[in-house]
Amino acid sequence: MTADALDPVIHAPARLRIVVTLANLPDGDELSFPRLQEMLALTPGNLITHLRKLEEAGYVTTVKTGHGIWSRTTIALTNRGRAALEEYTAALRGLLGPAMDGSVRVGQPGE
Amino acid sequence: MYEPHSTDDTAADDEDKLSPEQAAQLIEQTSRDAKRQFGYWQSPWATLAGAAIWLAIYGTLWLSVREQHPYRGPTGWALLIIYSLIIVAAIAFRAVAGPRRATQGISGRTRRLETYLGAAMGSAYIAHLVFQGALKYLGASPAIVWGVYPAVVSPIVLVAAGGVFAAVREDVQTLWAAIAVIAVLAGSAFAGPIGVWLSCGVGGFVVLVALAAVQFRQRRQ
Repeated sequence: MTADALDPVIHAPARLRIVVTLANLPDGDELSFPRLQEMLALTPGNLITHLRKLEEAGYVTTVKTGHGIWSRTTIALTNRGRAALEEYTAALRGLLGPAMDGSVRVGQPGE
Repeated sequence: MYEPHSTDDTAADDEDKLSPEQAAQLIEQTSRDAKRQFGYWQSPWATLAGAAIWLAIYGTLWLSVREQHPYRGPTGWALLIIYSLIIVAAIAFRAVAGPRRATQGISGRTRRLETYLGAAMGSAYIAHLVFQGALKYLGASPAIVWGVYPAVVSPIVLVAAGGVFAAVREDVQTLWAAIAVIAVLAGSAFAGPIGVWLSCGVGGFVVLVALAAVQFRQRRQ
C-alpha cells in the first residue's frame, strides 16, 4: 500500500485538522465557525474553501442561521465524514505498520 | 512536530504533501489539542484548587460545630466564610478551568441534553431543600436537620449533577471521581453530626487529590 491509497479529500493538512477536530466532538454536536477558525488558526477564506471541499464530499455539513449580525454558521462532521476518517486512519496504520498502531487514533471526549 | 503553514492559498495546502508519518503526527497533535480545548477540567491545578476549597469549606464547618454539646449546627461566621469560599471557588474555576471556554461555540445534542439535565438537577436541589424544611417542621433533631443532612445530602445532589454532566461529555475520570465522592459522603453519615463534617471534608479532599494526580500523570504522557 502507498500514500496514494489515502483519501485525497482528507489527506491535506488543513482538512485533516478540521476533520480530526470535529471528530473530537460528541455525535450530534456542532461547532461554530469562529471557534473552529480560532482553534485551527486559519484565515476565514482558507477555512471556507476547505469546508466547501469537505462539504462537496459529504464529510461535513454547514448550517447558517439568522441574518446580518445575528447570523451564525455551525459545522458538524457527518456519519460519512466520520467513517472516512476511520478508513483514513486504518489506511495510515496499514502504511506505518504495527509499531505505530497506538498513535493513529481519533476518539471522542473521554476516550 | 508537524507545523502547518499559514498561507491563505488552499491549493498550496493541497500540494503540501504529507508523509504518512506527518499525517499520523498531525492527527495525534490535533486530537490532543481538541480534547484539551473541549474538556471541562483542562488543568489538574484547577482540580487541586477545588480539593483545597472543598477541605476548607468542610474544615471550617467542622471547626464551628466540634465543641457543641448539644449539637446546634454551623455558626453564622462559619456560613459567612463558606459562602465567601464558594464565590472564590466559582471565580477560580472560571479563570483556571475555563468552563465557558470548553463549551464556547458548541451547540447541538450535548448542549440540549445539558440544559434538560440542568433543569432536572435544579429541581432536585430545590426539592432537597424543601425536604430539609419538612424534616425541621416534623421535629427532626438539629443533628439531622443542621448536621448530617446538609453535610451529606446537599453535596450529593451537587456532585451527582457534576457526575451526570461528566457522563454526558463522556468524561469518565470525572464521573468516577463523582461516584467516589458520593460514596464517601454517604459513608460519612455514620460519623454523626460533628464527625460527618470532618469525614466528608477529608474523604472528598483525598478523592479530588487522586483525580488531580491522574490528570497530572496523563499530561506527562
